[in-house]
Amino acid sequence: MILIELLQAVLLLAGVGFFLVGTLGILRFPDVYTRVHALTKADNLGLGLIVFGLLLGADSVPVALKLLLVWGLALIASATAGYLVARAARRRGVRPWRARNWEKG
Amino acid sequence: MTEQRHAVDRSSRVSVYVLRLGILLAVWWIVSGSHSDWWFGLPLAMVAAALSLWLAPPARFLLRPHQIPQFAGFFLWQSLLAGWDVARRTLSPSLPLQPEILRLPMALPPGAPTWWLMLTITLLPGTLSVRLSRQRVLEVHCLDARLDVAGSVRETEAHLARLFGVQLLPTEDGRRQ
Repeated sequence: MILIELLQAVLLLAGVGFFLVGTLGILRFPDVYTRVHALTKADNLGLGLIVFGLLLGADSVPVALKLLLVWGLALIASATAGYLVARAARRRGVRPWRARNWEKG
Repeated sequence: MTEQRHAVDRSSRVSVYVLRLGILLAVWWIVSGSHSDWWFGLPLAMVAAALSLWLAPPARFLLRPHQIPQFAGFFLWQSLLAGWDVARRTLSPSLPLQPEILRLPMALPPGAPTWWLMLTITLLPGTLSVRLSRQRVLEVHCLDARLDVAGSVRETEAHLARLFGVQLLPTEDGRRQ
C-alpha cells in the first residue's frame, strides 16, 4: 500500500511540475506560436500524470472513468484552442519568431 | 462496426443515433456517479443525441475499435515525449528553439481523419497545426526545424489511416506510404 501511495505522490508532483514548466514556457518563449506549444504539450502531460496518480487511488469505476473523461475532454479542448489561437495569429499576419543563428538541419 | 464507409441513409441515421445515445448515457452515468437520476439523464441524452445528428451529421468514417489500443499507445508515448521535449527547451538557459512554419500536403482523406491529424500533431513533440488550405496543404509550426517534422507527421498519418481503415491519397509531392 505504501508503495502505491509513494508512486501516487511522485506522479502528482511530476504533474504539477509540468504545469509549472508550461507556465514558465509562456513567460520565456518568444512569440505566440511557441507559447502555444509550451502550454498545450506541457499541460497535456501534467494533467495526464495527475489523472494517472489519482486513478491509483480511485475507489470506484465511475470515479476512475470520470477522471479519464476529464483528461480526454481537456485534451480535445486544449488541442482545439491551440489550433484556433495559432490560426487567428496567422490570419492577422503575425510572423513567427526566428532564431538569429538560424540554420537548416 | 468494422465497416469503413457509411452511406447516409435512413437506417444508418438510426444506428448512428442509437450509438450516440449509448455514448451519452454512458457519459451521464460516469458524470452523475452512483446515484444517477435517470428521469433527468435519459431525456437529456435523447435530446442531445438528436441535436448532435443535426449539428454533426453522420460521418463517412468510423473508428476501427480493434485499432484503438495501438493508437492510444502511440499517442500516450508521444505525449510523454512532447511534454518532456518542451520542458527541456523551457528550462534550458540558452532556450534552444529554431521555429519555422512548414507546408505539408495532406495524404489523409478530408473530414474526420484530417481533423484528427490536426488535433493530434498539436499534442505531439514540436508540432502545432496552424492553418489548413483548400488545396489541402497543412501549415505546421514546428519548434525546431532541425528535427524530422515531416517524418513524424507522416508517421502520425499512417497511424490514423490504420485507425480509420482508409487509404492514404497520393500527394502533390508524390509521397505515398
